[in-house]
Amino acid sequence: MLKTIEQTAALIAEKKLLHISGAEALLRGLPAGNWIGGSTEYFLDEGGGQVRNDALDVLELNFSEYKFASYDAQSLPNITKDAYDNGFSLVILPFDSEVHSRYAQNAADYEDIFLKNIIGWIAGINLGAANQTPVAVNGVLGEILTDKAAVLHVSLPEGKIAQLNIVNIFRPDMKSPVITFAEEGFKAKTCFVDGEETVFADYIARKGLDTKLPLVGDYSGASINISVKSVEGGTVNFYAPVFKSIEYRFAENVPDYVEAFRSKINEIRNRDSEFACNCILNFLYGSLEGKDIGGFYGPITFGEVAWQLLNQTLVYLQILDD
Amino acid sequence: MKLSDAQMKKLLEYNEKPQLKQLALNMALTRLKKIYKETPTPVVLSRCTSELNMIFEKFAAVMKADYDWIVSL
Repeated sequence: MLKTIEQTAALIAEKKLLHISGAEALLRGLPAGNWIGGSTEYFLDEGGGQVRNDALDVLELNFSEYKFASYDAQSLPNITKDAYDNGFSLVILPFDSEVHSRYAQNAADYEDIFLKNIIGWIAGINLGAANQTPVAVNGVLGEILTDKAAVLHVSLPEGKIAQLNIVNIFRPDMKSPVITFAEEGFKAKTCFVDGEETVFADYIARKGLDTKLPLVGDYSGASINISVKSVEGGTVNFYAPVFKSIEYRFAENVPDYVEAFRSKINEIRNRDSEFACNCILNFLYGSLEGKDIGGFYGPITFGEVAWQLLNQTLVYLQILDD
Repeated sequence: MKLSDAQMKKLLEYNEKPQLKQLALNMALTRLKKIYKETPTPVVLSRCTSELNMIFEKFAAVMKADYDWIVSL
C-alpha cells in the first residue's frame, strides 16, 4: 500500500517489520529500523500502475523470527546457508551492480538453493530522471547499498510453508527456431539458430524480430524469460544472462498485456500473497499505467528473483498450511 | 516420496516436456540434467537422486503430484 514518508516513518517507529520500495531519495530519508528496501518509482496496485516519487510502497510482514543481512559479491552464496530451514528470504539487489550479475549467473549453483525459498527483485531508478542510483537498503543498519544485496531472512512457524510462484504471460513461439548460445552471459554476438551458428544481431534484423518480446528458455518445461536490453554494434545485450545448456525461442506476441495478466491471474485459485513484484518491461511495453491487472500488487522492478533471476515476469510469495 | 536411481535416470533422460507443477523442481531438474549430461556416471546419478529426494522430503505437502508424475514415467 502506498504511504507518505511520514506514515512510513511512523510504522518504522512502531518497530513493524516492513518491506519498503520507493524513490531513492525517500528511502534515504527514512530512519533505521526493522525494514528492508529498494529503489523504484513504479508500482502496481488496485488503481493500476503508477509512477510516483512522493510515496512509498510499504508492506507489513507479520513474522516474529527474522534476521537482516547484507552480502557483497564474495559472500553472496551465503544467502542460502543463512536462510532459515523453514521460511523464505527476500533479496533486493541493485541493478547493474556486481551482486546483480553474480547472482544472475551463479544462483542456480548455490548450495541447497532449491531447498530454500529465495524471492526478491532488482532495484532500479526512474528511467526519465537524471542522477539516480539503484539502491537496496538494509534498514536495521541504516545501510544504503549500491554494491551489496540486502536480504531479510524470515523463519516460519511449524505448520506453515512458503511457496514461490510466477505468472509469465509469455510462451515460446513453437513455430520459431530453437536458439542456443555457446557463451554464457548478459550479451551475445553469435548464437545457434536450429544448430547453425549465426550473428545474433543480424538474425534479429533479418527476421524483423520484435525485441520487446523475450527469449523464453525451456527449464524442463517451465518458461523462463530473458529480455533483450539493446542491440548495439553487433552485440545483443540482455537483462539476464543466457546459459549454454538452455534452449530458447522468441516469445509469441502478446497483443494485450493487461488482458493476458488478468486471464492468467484469474486461473489462480488462491490469490492471497505475502509479497509480489512485476517487471518494468511489462509495465512499459504493456502500458500498465492506470490499468489494474487483477491482483498480485507491489513494486515494479528491474528484474525478479524466484530462486534465479527472471525477466518480464510477475513473482509472488504465498504462505500455506503445511 | 523417494525416487530410486533408476527412476531418476529415466527423468534425467526424458526428452519430452516434463509435466511438473512446482517451479523449483523445473529449475532443479534443469541443473541436474546439465550436471548428469556432463558426467553420466552412477556416482553423479546417485547425487542427483539424493538432491531431488531432499526437495521432495522437504516440500512433500506441495510436491505429491510432481512425484506421482515422475514415478509414472
